[in-house]
Amino acid sequence: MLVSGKGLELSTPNGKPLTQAFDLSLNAGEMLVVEGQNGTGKSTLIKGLLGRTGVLRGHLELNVPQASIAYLPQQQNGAFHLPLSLRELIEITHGRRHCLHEHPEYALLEPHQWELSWNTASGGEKKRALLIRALLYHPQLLILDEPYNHLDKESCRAITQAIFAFLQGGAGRGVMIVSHENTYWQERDDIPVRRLSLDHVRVPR
Amino acid sequence: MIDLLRIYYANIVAGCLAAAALSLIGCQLAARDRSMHTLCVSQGMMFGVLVGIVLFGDARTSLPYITGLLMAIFVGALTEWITKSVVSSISSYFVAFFLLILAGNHILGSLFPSVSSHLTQVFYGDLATVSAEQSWTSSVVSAAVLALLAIFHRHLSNQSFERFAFPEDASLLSSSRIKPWLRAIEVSLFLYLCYAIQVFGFLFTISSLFVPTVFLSLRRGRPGIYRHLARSALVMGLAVGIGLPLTLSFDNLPTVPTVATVAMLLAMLLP
Repeated sequence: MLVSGKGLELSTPNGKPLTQAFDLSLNAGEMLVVEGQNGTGKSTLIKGLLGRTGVLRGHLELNVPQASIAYLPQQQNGAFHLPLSLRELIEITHGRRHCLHEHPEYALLEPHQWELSWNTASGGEKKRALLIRALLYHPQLLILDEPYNHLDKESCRAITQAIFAFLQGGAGRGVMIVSHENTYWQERDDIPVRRLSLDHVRVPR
Repeated sequence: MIDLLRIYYANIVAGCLAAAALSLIGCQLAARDRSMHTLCVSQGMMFGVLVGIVLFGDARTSLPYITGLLMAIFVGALTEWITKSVVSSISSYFVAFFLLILAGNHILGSLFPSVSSHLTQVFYGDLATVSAEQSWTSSVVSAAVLALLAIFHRHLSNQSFERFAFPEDASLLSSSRIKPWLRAIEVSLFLYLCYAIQVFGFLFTISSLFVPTVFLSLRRGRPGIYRHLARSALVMGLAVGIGLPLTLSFDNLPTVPTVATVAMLLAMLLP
């Protein structure tokens, strides 16, 4: 089992409880989809798993080294001061040793899209580049926070395909996703998907 | 002119190296949206030095530098706290904060005339008045910082991107978790910044940090982060190499404003 939690409770950084106790588990080869309305603590759960102190209580077993976890948070919009292309985004993270064509992850972007500036790329192009960046860490556990926000259907499908390919690309891998969208998981029957709804355990405000 | 260049050779070398190193640091600070923080920290450093001179005497001892550094760290921590705590109009907070420290500096300068000349010198700075010994020392330090920036430019740019794109989660990302040594490099760059303010002055340091990167980014063209970094260093190094000899030849030209203007022109016109 990659992640196992019993009697977990979430709270805000200043101690205000967000949820009652709940359990979660994620096995290798599985995807865990964390669902819930705004403010239920979905993103807080991820931050707690990744080691942010004071937001997660209970018994948590994380059987993946921190270095083998790739996390793609929700990104802030706005213009980056440095004139960064999408190709350079990968290069500053992973170095220039990566030849684009050698990695199947790169197929998420068309060749001409690699030279686009970060500041002029569309939301979908940025998200795909960020997902490639996360996948190239070759993680055991991939954690994505709202990867479908503000994306068109084509981008959503491409991202879902990349997630499935990642899961099936090696043994011992798992994916955890926080998402409002729940339609894309039904496209494939061969990927076991667990669901955790925080709506059922939320503490009323 | 040749004689002047012979006399000020060390100052020109020191200025070029410091300007290039500062311009590369400025690229990262601008990318992290830390320009207002830097203004406040720089003023805090100056205030700390002035307090140190008032308390311990001559500026040549190391005690004022230590009080300056402590004040810079305090102001740096305060600006980070403001960034995390205040949700609206952060730049207004920084402007108010900057003006308060500036006012504090001038109050100290008025109350203690012994520090007023130091205040004027450090605020505007003058590359020509840096001693030969200090020029060579700062050249070595700046060359080391330049080497550090060249070696780790990729990692620093990556950190800048993560802090821009994921400001609340940057510390949880893979690259931050597996590269804690980047913190040590960032602390070294912070110390160098404080050092540069004391040696070359506030105006020169801030100009070198932000003029080249800002004016280069105004130009449209193909994206290229490596080209931008290299150009920033080149523009600022050249600006000192052209600007300083120019001010040595024309007595009425002030050094640092001339260098800053040359840097802006080079950034706009460099092919």
